[in-house]
Amino acid sequence: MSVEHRLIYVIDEIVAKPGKGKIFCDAYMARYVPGAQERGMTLVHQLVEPAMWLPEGTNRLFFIWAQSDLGAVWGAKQRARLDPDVEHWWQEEAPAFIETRQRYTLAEAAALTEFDNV
Amino acid sequence: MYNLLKVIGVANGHQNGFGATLAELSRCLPGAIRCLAAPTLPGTYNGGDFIWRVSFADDVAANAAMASEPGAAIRELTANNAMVISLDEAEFETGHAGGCQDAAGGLYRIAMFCANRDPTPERLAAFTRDTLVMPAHVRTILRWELSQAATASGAMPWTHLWEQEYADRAGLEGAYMLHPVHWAHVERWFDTEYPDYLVAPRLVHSFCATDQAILNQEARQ
Repeated sequence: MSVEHRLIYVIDEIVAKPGKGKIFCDAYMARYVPGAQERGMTLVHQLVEPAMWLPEGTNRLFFIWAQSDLGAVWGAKQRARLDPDVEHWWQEEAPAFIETRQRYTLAEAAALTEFDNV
Repeated sequence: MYNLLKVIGVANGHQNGFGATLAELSRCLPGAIRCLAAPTLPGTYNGGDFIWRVSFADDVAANAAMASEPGAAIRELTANNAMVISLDEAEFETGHAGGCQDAAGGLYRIAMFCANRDPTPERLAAFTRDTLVMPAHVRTILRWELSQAATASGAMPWTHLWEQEYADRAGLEGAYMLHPVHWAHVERWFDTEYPDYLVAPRLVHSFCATDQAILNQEARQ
């Protein structure tokens, strides 16, 4: 199995408040992304639906992160858990722009058997 | 089964005497069905220096034991601020339990959680349901119990006790930590970056060697 197939992905799915898609994206990139990168995460995609900023409507944003292995996943989790800046971002800053959000941890379907075999 | 649990941090220089006294007093507790008084192993997190866990038939028996002479001595010992530098404790009725394999020369692990972020009955039920599927996937868990605290104190007002027995330390630090049922499924309740997280970041993760099965003994009594 290739290294790419063993990557572990984290996705932030955000539905921005009406008209707030662009400003949220900018804030996420400026105030969340640098810290997450320091924790060992790699941002591989920033996707927006629909593919235009809606001045009055709601944009859905997907930030797709990749991590090389399970050690990186646990390491980033532990560091984020103890970092007051992370808590401040998600609890104090981001909610002003967000209607709903979800976070997912995923792997390639082809890798699941290998991950299960521990 | 009604259980008393203490995770005890002891000041440097006092560990040997404390451990010997605790073990001796514990052996004299009337009505104790299972008793564990053991030093923790390196690698714990907020895990103290000793784990003390005693099971009784019910809370009446537990209260009677702790009112006895050795029980009073244990209470006095663990309240000694000159020696005890941290104390996380809980009393709990055994909740969910499973597993039947004995781990001769194995490992006992306790995790103490405080599920205090929007703990609605529905969210607590979902957290319990997800946690209970772990032993079916993590093959190194030999016995386990998931219980809710009747009373608790320490660094947090602990709400949940998640206990497991393994044949060895590798079972905990290997399969338990590496299986996706943990990092990709149950972890959502603990990860503060998930919008639905439930459990406070501070938790107790402690373990010790054991020479007897402690958990899931109800059916054998």
